[in-house]
Amino acid sequence: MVKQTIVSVKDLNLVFQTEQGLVHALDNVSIDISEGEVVGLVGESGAGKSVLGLSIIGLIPIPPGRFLSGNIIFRGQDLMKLSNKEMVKIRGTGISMIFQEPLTSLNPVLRVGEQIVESIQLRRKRANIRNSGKSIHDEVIEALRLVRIPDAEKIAVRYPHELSGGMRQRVMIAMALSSKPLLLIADEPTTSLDVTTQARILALMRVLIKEVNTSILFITHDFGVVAEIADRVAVMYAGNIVEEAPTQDILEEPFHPYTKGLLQCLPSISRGDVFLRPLPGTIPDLINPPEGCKFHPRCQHAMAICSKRKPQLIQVQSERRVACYLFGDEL
Amino acid sequence: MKLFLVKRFRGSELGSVFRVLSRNPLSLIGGTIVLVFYLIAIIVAAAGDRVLPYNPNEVNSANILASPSLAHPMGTDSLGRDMLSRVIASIPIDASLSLVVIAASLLIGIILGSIAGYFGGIIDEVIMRLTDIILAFPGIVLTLAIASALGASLINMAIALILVWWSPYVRIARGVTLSVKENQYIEAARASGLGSLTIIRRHIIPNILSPMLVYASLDIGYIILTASVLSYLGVGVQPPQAEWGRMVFEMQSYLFSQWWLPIFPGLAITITVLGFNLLGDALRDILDPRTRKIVGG
Repeated sequence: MVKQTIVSVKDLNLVFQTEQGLVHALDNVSIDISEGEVVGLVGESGAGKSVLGLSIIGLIPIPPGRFLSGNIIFRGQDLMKLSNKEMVKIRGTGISMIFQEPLTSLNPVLRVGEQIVESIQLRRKRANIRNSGKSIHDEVIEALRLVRIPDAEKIAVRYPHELSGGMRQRVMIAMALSSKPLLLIADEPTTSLDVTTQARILALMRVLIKEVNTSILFITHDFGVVAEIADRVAVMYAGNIVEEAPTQDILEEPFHPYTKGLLQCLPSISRGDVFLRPLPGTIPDLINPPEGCKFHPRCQHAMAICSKRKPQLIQVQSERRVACYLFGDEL
Repeated sequence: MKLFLVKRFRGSELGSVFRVLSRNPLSLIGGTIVLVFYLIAIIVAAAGDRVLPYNPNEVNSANILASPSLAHPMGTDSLGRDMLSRVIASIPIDASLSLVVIAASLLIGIILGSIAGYFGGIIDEVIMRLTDIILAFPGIVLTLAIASALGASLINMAIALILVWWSPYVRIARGVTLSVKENQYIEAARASGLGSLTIIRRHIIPNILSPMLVYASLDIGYIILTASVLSYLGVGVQPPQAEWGRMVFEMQSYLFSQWWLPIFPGLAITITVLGFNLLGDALRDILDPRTRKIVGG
């Protein structure tokens, strides 16, 4: 069964004007997400993961941001060509986003029920539903029950500060899902939570994906989370996608040296690790990025060509793409 | 939506207002003064001069400049009018005037300020430069100029006060909006597809409301004070209508012979302004949902 592509990012180039110079935040980024698919976007801090998410939903502040080139095709519509007003209509019901910080992503002066009401009203308005037979109140409670919030009736009239981080994160997910978006961008939604809550939320999201049939771009720096939830993984480094593959394949056999490095950072019981193995070096300065492959200064396999010409993201297997001279026939 | 909004005002919130007030003696004093002030204002406005001990405008040449006594607790003025009746009779004037001015200023301030702060750019520039023009003048002088240009009357004084009073509200609203709009929940609201005006209405305004209301409640006292000053200077409430500032002006020549004549209306101004300030401080603690639990226990 061929699934339809819901969003297709093509050759996106984004720069930020800063006082120190131009920051090349996204460098020829291309990625496709199909209907009902969960794509994990992995990389170190500053790799451009969140920026890619914000670009898709059209929330990059312009200026200082500026798109040099590229398209974002969402259901046949080029989002780059839409006006602000038209973009507002896509957000929420078309594309929605869950942010990193559950603690600050809810309005502190509105009861959580009231905040979910907004998403439901918006969806009803856009879908032109006048009378669905259910009251908005019932739908709010239902949305909270969907994310397994106990005592939903009571929680709905609480303020965000009265809830724990995990509860707030679930409210955020309930909010995002109650507008039933076609694409959900989840920007590290579990990072600030403790591991048990994180596991519970991930399990919940897996169930919800099946129930609501939403495509998800799941941004994280944690391969463990990716293994839990994603069908496919894209690895980002310094504004480039360096590798893209089905989750199982990339975990079993990473191609790109950077992906290998990232996976080696994870302590492994089978390897009998006593010490952590951090990837040496840090992400390069994006104002003056290194010539050629941006990863070459940190790469054990760096060759002469790596510092001269930037490797392209090429197809190496039916579903795998990698941007490295160690692979493909560019050599 | 109704359900949540209605529930909001049931019980708990109103209860916490009283709880906080009753725990802090200063705010209790402030609250009592303000409550009495408005209670008198409503009673006098509704029932008229009948509820006063004497007709506040009735001249009695047989009993001028009387000392405080049981019959006239604040004495009588140079025309033999009962001072207590006149002090009370001016309360509804000050109460309604200050409420109208504060409501108009809040409305203008919140609308213009949140729009300026949220959109920024040229809209912000235009609104804020307009505000700066007003703020560049000393408030009392500008009010005085507008009020006297319009002609001395109660309504003109209200117009003059509003024209001058709104500008700091725009500044506060804009300032708070600037910090509120950087919050992630605003970005989250944008990500969930809300339009700019909806975000301002649903997410910005509720969040800038509490500092605005605190400032406004502190400010009511100053409006009463300024209205008294304007009346004192002759551009506000016109005789024979009783008004504290006007009464102080009329009676100031008796300060050394019959001291109580200017002192009582002056004291009325002082107590009222003090009451509003004490209450304003307490309101700040109550209106912020994050400090409410701590303060209210």
